[in-house]
Amino acid sequence: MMLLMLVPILANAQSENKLMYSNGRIYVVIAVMLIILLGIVLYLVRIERKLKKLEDSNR
Amino acid sequence: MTKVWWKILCVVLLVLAIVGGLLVKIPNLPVLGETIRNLFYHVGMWAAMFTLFTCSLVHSIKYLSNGKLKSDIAASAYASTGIIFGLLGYATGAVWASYTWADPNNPAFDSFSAVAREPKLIGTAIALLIYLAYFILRSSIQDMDQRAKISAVYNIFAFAMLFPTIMIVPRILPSLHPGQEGNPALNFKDTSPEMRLIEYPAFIGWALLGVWITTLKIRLEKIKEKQFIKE
Repeated sequence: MMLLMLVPILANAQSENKLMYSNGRIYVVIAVMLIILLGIVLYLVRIERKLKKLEDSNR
Repeated sequence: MTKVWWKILCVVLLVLAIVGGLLVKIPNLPVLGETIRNLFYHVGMWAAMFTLFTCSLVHSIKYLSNGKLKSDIAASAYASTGIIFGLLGYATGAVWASYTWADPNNPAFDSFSAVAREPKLIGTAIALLIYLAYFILRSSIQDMDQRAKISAVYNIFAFAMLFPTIMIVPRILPSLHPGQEGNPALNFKDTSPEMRLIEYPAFIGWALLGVWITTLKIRLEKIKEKQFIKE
């Protein structure tokens, strides 16, 4: 799977990233951040649903 | 507040900020290197903070003009979320600075005190402290209407103080932050066009996230108030 992730480097025009984190493993970072974001969003949605239930029962 | 479209927009924009922010082509900058991508996240926190404080101001003014307590609840909720985003901005800035300004292998400056004397750091600390004082003020007054009125007036001054502390004075003094000739985040010379394409949606996404969290807070407070009245 790591090899698959390295393939886009060949297609990528920006070759000035000589750093260790050049686009090979950047996808891991993106995945991690998206998981965190998803977690936060799901938490917010859960709170919303609970609030909605409370508001409807109060009416 | 129960509308869904802007919350979905918020999630979409933040996903764009993360994916686009990490993949977009960046200009080759001397000290910063790849860390300039932090623009979408660190500065985004400040953009969110500013938006939230503006919303807080609007609700404070609304309270002063119509006396409805729900505006006061909203003002306080926006201010508290704004402070949280401000603290996050501070934390992300500290991490960013420790890798760029204060990097021990590549020190851009003589000593840590050069970084600590950075005017924007001090300015934002003052601004956040002023808003924290807003909450101290609120907790010191028992009567609901008095509290709302006095804190609404204080909120207006606190908002006005944001500008000299964060935007005006740091730009006059020699500073490590970019953008001394003009507007830092919005200066078109500082960011490449590709970055700007991600930057503005990211800022809007972070601001919407802040607003979403705050609306949940407000709704919760309103339910609490209703329960309180019922008893």
